[in-house]
Amino acid sequence: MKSLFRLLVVFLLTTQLSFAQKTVTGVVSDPDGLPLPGATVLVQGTTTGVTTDFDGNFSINVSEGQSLEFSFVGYETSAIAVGSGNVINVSLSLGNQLEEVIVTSLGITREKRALGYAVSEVDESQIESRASGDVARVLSGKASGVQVTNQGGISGSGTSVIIRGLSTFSSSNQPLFVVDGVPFQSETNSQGSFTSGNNGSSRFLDLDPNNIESVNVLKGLAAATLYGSQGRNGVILITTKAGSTASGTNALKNEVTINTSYFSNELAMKPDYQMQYGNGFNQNFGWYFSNWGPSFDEGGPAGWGKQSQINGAVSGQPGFLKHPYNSNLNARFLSRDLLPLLGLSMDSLWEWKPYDSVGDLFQPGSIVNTNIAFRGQSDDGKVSYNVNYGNLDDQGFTPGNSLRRNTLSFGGRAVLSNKITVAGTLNYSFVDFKSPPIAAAYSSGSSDSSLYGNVFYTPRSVGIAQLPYAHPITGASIYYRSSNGIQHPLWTVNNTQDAQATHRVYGGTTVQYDISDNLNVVYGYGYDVYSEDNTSYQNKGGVDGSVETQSGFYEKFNNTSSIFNHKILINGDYELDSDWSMTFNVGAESIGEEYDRNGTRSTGQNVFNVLRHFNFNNQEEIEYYGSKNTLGVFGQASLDYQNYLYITLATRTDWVSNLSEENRSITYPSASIAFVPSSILDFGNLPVDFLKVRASYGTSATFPGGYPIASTLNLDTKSFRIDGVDVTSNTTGSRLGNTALKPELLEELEFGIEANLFDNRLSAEISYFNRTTNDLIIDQPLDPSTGYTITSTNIGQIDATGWEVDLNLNWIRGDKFNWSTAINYTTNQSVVVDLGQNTDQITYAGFGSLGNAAIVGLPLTSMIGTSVGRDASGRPLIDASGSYTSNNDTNYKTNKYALIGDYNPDFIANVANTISYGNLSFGFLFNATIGGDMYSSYMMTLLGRGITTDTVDRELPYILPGVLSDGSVNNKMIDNATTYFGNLIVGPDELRTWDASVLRLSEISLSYDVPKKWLDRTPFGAASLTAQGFNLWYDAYNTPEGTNYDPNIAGLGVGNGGGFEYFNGVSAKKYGVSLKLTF
Amino acid sequence: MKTLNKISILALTSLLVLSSCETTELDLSSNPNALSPSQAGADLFINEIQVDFAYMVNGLSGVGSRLTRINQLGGERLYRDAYSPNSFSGTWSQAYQQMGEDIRVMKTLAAESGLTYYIGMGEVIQAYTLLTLVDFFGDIPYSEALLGAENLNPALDSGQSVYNAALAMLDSAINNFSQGGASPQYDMYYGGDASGWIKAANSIKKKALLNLGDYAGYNSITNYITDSSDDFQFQWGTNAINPDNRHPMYRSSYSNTGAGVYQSNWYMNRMMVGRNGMRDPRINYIFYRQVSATPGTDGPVDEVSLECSVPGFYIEPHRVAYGLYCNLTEGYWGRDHGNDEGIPPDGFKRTIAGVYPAGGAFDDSSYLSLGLGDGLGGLGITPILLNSWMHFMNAEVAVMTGGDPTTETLAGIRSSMNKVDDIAGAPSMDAASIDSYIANFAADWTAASSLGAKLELWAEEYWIASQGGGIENYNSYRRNGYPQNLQPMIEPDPGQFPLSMWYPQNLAANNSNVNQKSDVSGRVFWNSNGPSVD
Repeated sequence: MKSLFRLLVVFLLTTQLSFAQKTVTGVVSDPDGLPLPGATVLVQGTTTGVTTDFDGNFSINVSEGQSLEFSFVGYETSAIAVGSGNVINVSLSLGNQLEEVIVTSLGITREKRALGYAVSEVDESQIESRASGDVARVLSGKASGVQVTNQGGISGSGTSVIIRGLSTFSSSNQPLFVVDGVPFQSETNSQGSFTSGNNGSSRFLDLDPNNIESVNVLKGLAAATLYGSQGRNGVILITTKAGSTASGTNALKNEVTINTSYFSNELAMKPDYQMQYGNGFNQNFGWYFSNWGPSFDEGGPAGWGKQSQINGAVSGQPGFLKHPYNSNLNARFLSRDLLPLLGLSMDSLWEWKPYDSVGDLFQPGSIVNTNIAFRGQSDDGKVSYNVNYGNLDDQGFTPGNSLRRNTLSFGGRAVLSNKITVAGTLNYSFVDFKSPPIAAAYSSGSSDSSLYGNVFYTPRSVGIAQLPYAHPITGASIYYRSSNGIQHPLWTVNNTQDAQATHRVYGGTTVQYDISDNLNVVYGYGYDVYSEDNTSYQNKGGVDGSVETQSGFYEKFNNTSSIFNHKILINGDYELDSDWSMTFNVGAESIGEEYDRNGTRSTGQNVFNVLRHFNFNNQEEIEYYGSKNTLGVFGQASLDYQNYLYITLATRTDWVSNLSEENRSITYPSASIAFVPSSILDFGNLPVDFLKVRASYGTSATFPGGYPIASTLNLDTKSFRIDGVDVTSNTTGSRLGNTALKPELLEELEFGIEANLFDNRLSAEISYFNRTTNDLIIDQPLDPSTGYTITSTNIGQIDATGWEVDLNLNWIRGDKFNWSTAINYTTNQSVVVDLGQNTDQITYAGFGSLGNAAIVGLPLTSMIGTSVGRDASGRPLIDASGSYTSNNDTNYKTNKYALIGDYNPDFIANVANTISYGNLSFGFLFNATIGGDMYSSYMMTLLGRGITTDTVDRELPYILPGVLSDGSVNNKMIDNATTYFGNLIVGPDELRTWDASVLRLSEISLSYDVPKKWLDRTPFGAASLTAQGFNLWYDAYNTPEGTNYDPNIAGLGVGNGGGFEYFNGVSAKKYGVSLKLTF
Repeated sequence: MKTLNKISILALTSLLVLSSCETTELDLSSNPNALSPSQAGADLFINEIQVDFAYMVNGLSGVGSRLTRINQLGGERLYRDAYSPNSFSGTWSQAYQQMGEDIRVMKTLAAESGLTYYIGMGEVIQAYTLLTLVDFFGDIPYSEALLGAENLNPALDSGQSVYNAALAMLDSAINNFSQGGASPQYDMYYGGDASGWIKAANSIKKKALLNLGDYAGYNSITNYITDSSDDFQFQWGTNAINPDNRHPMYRSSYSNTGAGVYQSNWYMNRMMVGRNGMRDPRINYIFYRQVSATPGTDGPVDEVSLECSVPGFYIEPHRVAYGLYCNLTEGYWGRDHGNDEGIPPDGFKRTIAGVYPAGGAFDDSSYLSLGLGDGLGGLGITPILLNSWMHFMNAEVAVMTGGDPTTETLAGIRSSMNKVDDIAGAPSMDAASIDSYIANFAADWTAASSLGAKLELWAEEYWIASQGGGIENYNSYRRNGYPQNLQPMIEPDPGQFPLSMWYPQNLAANNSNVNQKSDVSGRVFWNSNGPSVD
């Protein structure tokens, strides 16, 4: 206690301390004389230092005879002895751009030229002031090798991040997030599965991108060895502004920054609806799901003049129908005497015309995003702090969708006089996410309530906004279809909700003790605890889903999840002789993870719209508990020979708690080498400024989650009900516990080349990797006649290979005019090499016969489903009615056409351009994701229901290409509805799969830095104004034009599956302005 | 001071490390979210086994009844695609992973406590299941099944050997029921009456011996279900939510958004036409009409709800030749065999399951749009082996052994009439109309010129007595080919009628000893000389 007190006193008093030294001031500038803000000025041989302000000014206390060291990223470091003068102005010369220091695993900083593996960096300017509050979405397109998939345009919905493709299908492939040195929980806790509505945020949403200083992406295994198994999918290393203060790398003088933005949030994926035909089938009117009805013109073969329902014969007024609610009257729907309560009568009419239902429902939302940061340090630079507050209020374009976030962060660091440095961060966030349910939907209705599923195919002659949605007495959903088979979208909006409110505290403390100048020991404690309150409800009277859902439900549960992490690390740095130097790090770590879910689900609502458990007939427990501990020891040694040859060796051993004792540990080493020939070779006239080649071998391990070796027995307290009494039962567990289960071993070889050419105008970095997953953990499905249906086992192998290319081009480097282009290119593929003896294919995501399957010899990203029946020569077989036959054999071995796609794109390329002239800067980010397939419920429904402009040409017959069962060429004419509805919706899965290549203008921005002289009389040190737009244009050019389809949707939720979309998301576009002020 | 400081820091560090003990525990492999197998109880197992059995029988009854036109087969025009390998994965899991493994473990627990009655129940259920799986799939795993990690790829046993094992198991069950052991709290089939179970076991033996053609063996068993009070059946309830214990046929017919299945036009027509001009009195029990007239026949054309009611709608010639297609009169609104069209908004118009056996509504010509909770709310039965069926089987054995099937056929009809009449919650059937129907049947029967014509009548009545079942009908149809005049498939060239089923996907894909069949034309062992059927 006493020492804590002393610590506090020291902390508070340090700012007051002063030394009997003189003050030296000056300006640090670049070769062109422009000031360098944020340059480091250090008294050589000490830890005393300051950084320059926005104008490059510094002021430091120093004694005569000492030397000042001036450094800035990208410039040569310069040292100047302090003489008798009090002013030292320095001009730093341009250094080699790659001689930057970057943060690698466990926060160990190293020169980038010394690294034998690829690391991508994304800086603050590419992250801040963005419309999305989701750091992963902001990172999209900014680093090679990283693939980001949105679950959809719902604000706050989950996001999938995959680095270098898939390496396993039994565990998560999502990368490890490390925030300020502490592992950060980034999982997505969905409410339900993708069939029941997978709403749920990815927990990196708890980070405010505006509070991020920099992001480093460690892609390969060699880069992440020290993180152990958790780093196997790559590591997203985030340094927050609080954390950068805590690490002492970027302390500034006292400064306040305010960053505020306003964006409009709109539906980007609105289809081009046709304006010619309305509800019906075969050009005849009917209150159907489909839009194959009569024309909106009176004349012509399909004109409404021929329809007795519309031409006035029934309604009494040509061009009008009887109102659907009085033609649908029956005891279950609405009785006649209730019509006046809805403002209707038996004479009410319905105009036959196209309505803009989707436009009426999805109104533009708004995003207001504010971040205030305070940072500063004591005059001697020994104590620094940061306080950051962020607020996000994101109203989605989907009614009922909102995301609100408050974040508060503190970071501080103090260098004590007794060789001890303490630092810490403390972050609190509150994220409140609300959304209507978006369950998987098909061509008619959905497995549970789904707002999107019931809206987009609304027939043109049906107006959502014009039809009352609630039964005036019961409150139940009513709608136009005569058996009331569709849930009114406005009923869904007003009577259902999924919500997640998350409180989270995370951060860490490190204590460093400098044993000598060459050796220190660091103890770190990290914590990350969140409490996620989930609420889902639906009032009684819905239409979609089970009887239970229709009866009304109210579900409330809390997920409390925590990670505690202790780490001790010894770091050494020695010059071995004049040629060799060595750094080493040795450490140990314990990680404790705990997950506790508790709550209640109630069903059978009594009083409408009262959402408390007491108002429901049945209650069921929601419970899950999991805990897992991991212990690790690790070491790393790096050798440096004359600054052009670098060798790094590392190893780590982990022990994990959920495997049997003999299989619970695994050791995985790595080695890497970097060679910089440009330091020792003369390239003569070649325009080579810098050249580095590197190679690495890395390993890691995948530990299974959950309790894979336990055998269980199920107990069901509501197995059946006899005479009003619930019957309790036992049944044997379906999982065969496998005590022999051991971790997966991943091995990766990586080669890379980095070069700066043409007077540093072009810098290029190219990497190739080849990763093998051995002893693949497979949730192997068993023949149930064994007594079990599944077991976890180690069989099989996956090989992944890929290329990553990063190019930076400085086309123009002028005083006022600058133009640079950054390009990144990614391609990778994971192929299943072996699945063991017993299995040809394993469906690991989706439904059993429609989903992603691991098949030997094929990419892991393969998609299987039912296919068009084909004859021996592969021609499509047409049945007697003129439609495609269907082959339901979804086993690739016996039906190769069961392979309906592969969702992995051939390549992803991003091009970012920045053009600046004086204070004006223009930039855009263009993305091309080429190849990859998508099974789309959205497209099949819009086409199959005859909604979009793609289907407007419909009055002539169609003949499908193929052959009849006798081998003759198909000559059977079919009509529009049979062609689209009868094949696209009812037919085999293969027909619902499209190429998902897409070109996208991801970001575009124009910003203006207010000239400094204008600010002289204001309290502001800097001000800038930026106008930005996101996803303003895209074209999935191989999908039907009128659907305006955006394939960047994770229909199966954030998992390993992909390439399937069940109306789970539609994309957003956002545009607005941001203002940044510093004072 | 420096020393003091170091000590403080050390103490602080140790404190943090000590508090981290919970993060260093490495023995956390048992799952706290479920019981462990050692905590099992025989009473709890027998509950689950009985419920699973009902669902499995109901599921395979649905397959058999749709193929034999008792219910409507929809969704596919080709027989090979009517049921895919995936459609049997659930049944396969139920049979082995759930019931099979549960029975295996339960028998061990019961043996320790001398619970012979429980063991008998397990044996009857298992034997019936094994016989039925052979009937549907042919050779199945038995001797190498349920060994867990010892054998992840159980080899197939011949259907014959599985039949033999099942018959022996039934003998063992009869012996166990004779031991006088205590019955479980819930005996969902015979309410604790061992003699009922013994009759069920013997009846199962008889139907297996009939498949085998062992008529002597068949006739030697006399203690079987000879009265409807001993019928082997499962009683469903009326609770819709948590747990849902309603009859599965009720669930698919009575919902807030209207019916989800169609009734079979052939079957409804058979009952409407009736015998010798008399309509079958069971029709108001088995079906409920939501409307009084059908579009295109006695009702106005309604393209919206019944597309084929429009005059001039294209009907394939072979269906026109058969004479029954699209629609029946009087609101008997169903679908033809193999109709795979989309679903119009007719959920509150088409005919739905009635009071027998689904526990729905009795058709009193009220023509209401019925939904969730209407009628008996699902309080129906799933028949497994009925007294009436035993009579029909007896009639077949009589024919095969050169005897006269008349008596047993008439007894079967009467038993079925009484069975339908006895369902609670519906008006009782006029005794005179039962007699009259039987008399009219007898007139048709007498008029039938050949044995074949008589067997056609026999089979049709067997079918009508089998609503809710279907497993025995699928067997009988393959065994003797009657009724021969069933409605044809909509598709003119539907391929081979399934003589056995695809192996379930989870068997064929996961068991290296099993390859999927190339088609559904393979006959099960007892059917090698069966007639051709479509």
